Amino acid sequence: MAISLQKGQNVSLSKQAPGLKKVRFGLGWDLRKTDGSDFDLDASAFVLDGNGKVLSDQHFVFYNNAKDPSGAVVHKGDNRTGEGEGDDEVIEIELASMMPNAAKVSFVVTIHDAEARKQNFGQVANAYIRALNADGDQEIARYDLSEDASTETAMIFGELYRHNDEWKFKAIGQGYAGGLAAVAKDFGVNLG
Amino acid sequence: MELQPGQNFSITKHSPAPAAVNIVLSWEPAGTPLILDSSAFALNTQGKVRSDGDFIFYNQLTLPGGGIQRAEDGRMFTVTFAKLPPGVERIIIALTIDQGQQRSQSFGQLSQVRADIRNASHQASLATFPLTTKMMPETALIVGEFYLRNNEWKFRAVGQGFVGGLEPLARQYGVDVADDSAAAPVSPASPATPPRPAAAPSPPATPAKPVQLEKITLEKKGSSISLEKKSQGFEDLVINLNWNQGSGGGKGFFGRLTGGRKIDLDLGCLFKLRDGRAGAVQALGNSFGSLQQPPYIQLMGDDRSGASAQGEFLHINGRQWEQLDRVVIFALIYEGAPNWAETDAVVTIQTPGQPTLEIRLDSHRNDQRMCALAMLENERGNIKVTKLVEYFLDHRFLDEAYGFGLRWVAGSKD
Repeated sequence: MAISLQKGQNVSLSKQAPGLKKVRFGLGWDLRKTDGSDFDLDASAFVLDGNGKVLSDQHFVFYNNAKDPSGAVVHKGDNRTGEGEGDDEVIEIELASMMPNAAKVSFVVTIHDAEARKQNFGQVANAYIRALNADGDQEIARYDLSEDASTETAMIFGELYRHNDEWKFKAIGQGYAGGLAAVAKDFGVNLG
Repeated sequence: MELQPGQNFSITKHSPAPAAVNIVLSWEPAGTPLILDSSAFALNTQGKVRSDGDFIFYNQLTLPGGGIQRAEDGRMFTVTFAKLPPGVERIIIALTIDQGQQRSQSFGQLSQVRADIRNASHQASLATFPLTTKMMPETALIVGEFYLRNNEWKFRAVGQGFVGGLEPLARQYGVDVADDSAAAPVSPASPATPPRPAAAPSPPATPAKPVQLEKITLEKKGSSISLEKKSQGFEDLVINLNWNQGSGGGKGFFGRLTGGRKIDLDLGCLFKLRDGRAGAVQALGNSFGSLQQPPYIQLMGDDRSGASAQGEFLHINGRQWEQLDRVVIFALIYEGAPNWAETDAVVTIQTPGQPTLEIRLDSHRNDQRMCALAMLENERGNIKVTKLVEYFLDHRFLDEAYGFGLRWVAGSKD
């Protein structure tokens, strides 16, 4: 049974999923059935140093940058509408390939163009993000965005971080004003 | 607590937890010409009704087995959680505009829709959801939903529009609504549409009703569910007068002709009740009438500029039609134009069960500022519509022509 995360909780992935090699972060939501603009949720990952800043701009992995330079963090593609079964967007992390100076990876979910489209997570049906063990697809942790972040448009879902040679995951669950650009800027990305 | 669209709150965790809640619906402006219908859909985990009985609307006010009750006037639903049948995990509350598509109406014509969620036992407010509806092009609105999550009842403010009105909305939730009579001939609405003789009183069995004005007929073959409103009398008769601002800016050819004044047209009627009382409903003298009391005719606002896209509306309460003997609908140039040809005025008369009557007013005579548009007569309970389009100098001549016998004095709207 996966842990439904509470804000601030952390789990040791090595304890939850012994022998974990690859973590998959899946983001999902349902297709819009009412009228109006489609919902387009995006998952992004920031590979950060000990000071909480990106190692480089290429360590901001999102819909326009599918891989970090090490190839450890891979964005599997952008789903624009939530169509299809299962996770709509996936980011995978090969833990062993992570650069030694990568202290943590932050996962962010944003609603594309939320302000103009006047959308928030609560208006998206069944929006969630979850962490799985890629080997066997066992769910480790899950966050239901529609319920707990209903009025937010951007959220730091959680962070994967090194702790004494093991990887842990912490649920942050913190809403963020200003969308993906504001988050990226705060993580030290030079936006064009 | 004031909810934003998308926001949810726990009803069960509220202390003390309400056993039942009321959701009260209201909107602004309250005197809108839109006719709003409320519905509730009781859904299972798959987001569908278990059967058509889970669709609570104007023809079915309670959920079979209990748990959901719709007020007769549609302004309130009461949800009693413990009484809900097992398997009902979500209740959608929706508002739809009656014949909104046909009448080119939308929620954008309202400024706000509001839902108040209260503890049913003592009416203490749990939450309010004020939704700004300006710019909404849809004719159906999902106001909010009650839903069960981790054994806890919650309410989510939704506030999302749904194209197409009640029929596609009901289908979306799995209600088995049959196709409307798409095969029936659609008579073109042209200015030349002749008046039709009165239709039969509308019992459900009447075959081959004219298509245009019907409540979308969704009668299911061999079943009783129908979106047609029960015929306690008729639906409201709606008369609309619309015109172009035309000379408003004082520019151009017409601007000079009319001295740059805005054109102000009035819609009104002379009526006679079955009990013999007669009178007028019009903006002049502020005789706006009433839908709930005699004369059961009401003028919805007075548009003095023509800037309102919808113009002026006169409603006649169809359920009280039996109280009326006859009505003559008229239009009047209050100011701003010397004759009708310059106003681009169009009148539509929607009568239940009959084609829309559309009248374009195009007389060029400068001495006839008043036009009798149509006569509505009560013929053994039916509505007989006769197109008139007769121009008159003023009220007195019009009255004389149709024999209402009223006394007239000069009036003003100011």
